[in-house]
Amino acid sequence: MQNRLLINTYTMEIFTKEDKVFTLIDHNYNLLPVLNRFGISLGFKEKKIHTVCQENQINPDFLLAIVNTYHNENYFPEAELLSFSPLQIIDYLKKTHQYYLQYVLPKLDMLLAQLIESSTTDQQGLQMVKTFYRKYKNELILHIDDEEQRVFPYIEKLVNGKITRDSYSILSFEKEHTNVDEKLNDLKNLIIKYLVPDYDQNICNEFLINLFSFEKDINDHARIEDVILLLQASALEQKLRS
Amino acid sequence: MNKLVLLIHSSEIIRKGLSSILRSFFNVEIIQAENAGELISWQDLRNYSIICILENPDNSIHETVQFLQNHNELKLIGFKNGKTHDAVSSSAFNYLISQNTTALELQEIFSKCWKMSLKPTRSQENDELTSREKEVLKLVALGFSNKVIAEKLFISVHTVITHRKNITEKTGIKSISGLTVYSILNSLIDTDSINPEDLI
Repeated sequence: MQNRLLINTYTMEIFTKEDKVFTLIDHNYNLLPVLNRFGISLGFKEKKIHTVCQENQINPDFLLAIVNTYHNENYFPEAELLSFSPLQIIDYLKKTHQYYLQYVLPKLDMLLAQLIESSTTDQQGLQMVKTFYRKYKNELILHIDDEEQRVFPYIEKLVNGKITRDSYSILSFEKEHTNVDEKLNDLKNLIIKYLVPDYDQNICNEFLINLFSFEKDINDHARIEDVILLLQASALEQKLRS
Repeated sequence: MNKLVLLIHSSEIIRKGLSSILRSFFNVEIIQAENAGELISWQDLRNYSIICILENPDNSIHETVQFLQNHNELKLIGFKNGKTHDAVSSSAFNYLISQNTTALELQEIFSKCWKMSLKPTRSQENDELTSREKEVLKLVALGFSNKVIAEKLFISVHTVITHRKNITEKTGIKSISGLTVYSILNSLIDTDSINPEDLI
């Protein structure tokens, strides 16, 4: 913990309530969809973070914890994040899921289709990549479904103090994250290192750039789930079972 | 191994100056501190390759710097202020610099330090899969378990696992279906007899 504090003091940029919302985007445009998940749209003029939060009825500390975690990979305000209601975190995570399902995956689908179309040969390699991508996508969707159908409702029950006597425990949750993450990493590596480049390079670059930024987003997402939500839920479990 | 630079100097101007020069050459985490005492919060640091610039080197290195050596690779650079005599023994230090050191000299020193302290990674040595690794990979791609692969190749399961670790290290591909795609792309598997869609 102290290491983190020192890093913050000396080298990391940590946003505060007094910063302008514009500064967030100006310093890290990857935060654009993160703001949207909080219901913040562009056109915020010179407004500061705390003002915009107030207008949108957002807890500014929660927004800052999420935004700073995202902005600095080495910064993880565990203690602060743990102080927020799991329901608030679940709400944020669900919005992230929606972003993946409704925007990111369809966009990747489209770019991959364009990429295959641009290929000048028999596309054998690209078809293989497509099969692999489809497998990845199905696993990710299953994973998201599982969280929304099984895990989140279970945590909501815990928060409301309604624990069922079933054997299901939060610790059985989240084993699959690594598998899904591995495949995204593999997809990038296969295309960058091993695929014969018989395609439109600009489309391929765009596909890869989207994969990289998706990877960044989803890693951050998984970190909040695995570290924060899991910790909160298992603390609730212990409290209710004892 | 992650790199880290510790700048310990009482002068803020010098700290910031050094930091700004280093930033223009290296993409690395830089921590500034007024005195070595502040480093005590870093005692949990493990497995870093650290370069530490320390002000006014005397012959006894500050304890708080020394503890970093236990779990990390540490290079020490002494920063001589004007008043310090040249007589300082530099044996404890890998390099000595002063206010007269130029940016380029500093860059050179850092490059040498990283090179000295960073062992070449495996992938830099040899990226090619050995023929044995290719055999293992082929069987992995076809969906055989470690146990079956071991039996087929007359090696122990432990050896299979070691091969698989090396394969992943060299190719950067971790998942089984990813390795299958790799094998097909590199013609390790004959796709005429097998439908790749079934394998991936």
